[in-house]
Amino acid sequence: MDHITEAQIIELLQGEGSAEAVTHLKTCARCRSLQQLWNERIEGLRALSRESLDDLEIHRLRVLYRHLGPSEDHLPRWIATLVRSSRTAPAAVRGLVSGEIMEYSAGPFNIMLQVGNHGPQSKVTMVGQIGTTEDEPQIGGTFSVISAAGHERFSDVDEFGEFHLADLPVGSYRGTWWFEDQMLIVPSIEIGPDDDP
Amino acid sequence: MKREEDRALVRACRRGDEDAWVTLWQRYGPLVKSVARRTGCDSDEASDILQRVALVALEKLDSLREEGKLGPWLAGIARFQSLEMIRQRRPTSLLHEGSAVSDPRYDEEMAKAEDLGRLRQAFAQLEARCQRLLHRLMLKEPPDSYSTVARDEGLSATSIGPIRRRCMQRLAKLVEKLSRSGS
Repeated sequence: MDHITEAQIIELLQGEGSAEAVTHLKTCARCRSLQQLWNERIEGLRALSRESLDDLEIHRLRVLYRHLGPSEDHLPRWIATLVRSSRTAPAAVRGLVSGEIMEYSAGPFNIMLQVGNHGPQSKVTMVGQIGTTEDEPQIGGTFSVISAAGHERFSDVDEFGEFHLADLPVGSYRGTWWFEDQMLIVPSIEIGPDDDP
Repeated sequence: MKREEDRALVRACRRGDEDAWVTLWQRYGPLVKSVARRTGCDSDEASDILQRVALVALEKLDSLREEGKLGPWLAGIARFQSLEMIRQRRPTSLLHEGSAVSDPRYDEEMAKAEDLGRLRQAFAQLEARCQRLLHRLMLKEPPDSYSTVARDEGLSATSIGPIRRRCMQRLAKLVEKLSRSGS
């Protein structure tokens, strides 16, 4: 018997294959491979049908598009890239017992985030510092973070570029700095179990 | 949903049409999350992967040359982002060193993700009755019975099996066509 056709494979998937096709499969690795491919495809479609987007996910996608998508306004907006990160020694960062320091660069701005805890009984805190290469920097606005699980925190940014966010659950966050008509996004800030006492 | 509709959707997103953007993710968001889950991400991570893929897609949408290949393109991005996330969270569990790309299984896994994207696209190109039948008889858990589907569709129970077979054959042909066109 020649190799079985894809149509015959499909009949076999439905339990309707011929005895000849079933016998052929026992001896033909190539046709078994094709059968396996279709089994995986059907399972893949099943998995797809189990997934859906909830309202929060749709909302976040809208916000993402609104802020970074094509716009007639052409507002200044930057996406920060991670320059370096390092775990901190207890004495290295003021007030923090342990944690991580992350430095980002975005256009004329730089952001340093210190994520950690202030002691065994405290929750995770994020202390941030926004800087700029401009000669007469004007810093202010708001820094917010939101996680995939929907945890959100906001903080004012003072004239020195500092902000504080407290009580952050473990998770993967996106940070956004808003100041006047400018926006800067830090796409990924990880707060892992090591940061949470 | 046809390939031309995907092209129209991409072009609308490029023009600043927010509703088109949402429609795009209502169609392909489940695919992205499914790829993330099948890669090994949990539910929260899959949701985060969705946002990461959306960010990449937004950055690179202008450079997407073949707008009809949206499904496989997004599936490939999702696969890469998922592997990177897993590597960052559990650096010793998936890879010994380097990024996801250095894993010898990478090419095979990416091909599987893109195949799922083609499959999703092919399924969406089936006529509505085929989509309904295949969903109810093969994809839904638990699947509906022949008699229930026949009653709802106004068909005889004995015709359901042959119709399902024809729908699956059409699906196979569409997948093959998308594969040949390089999608």
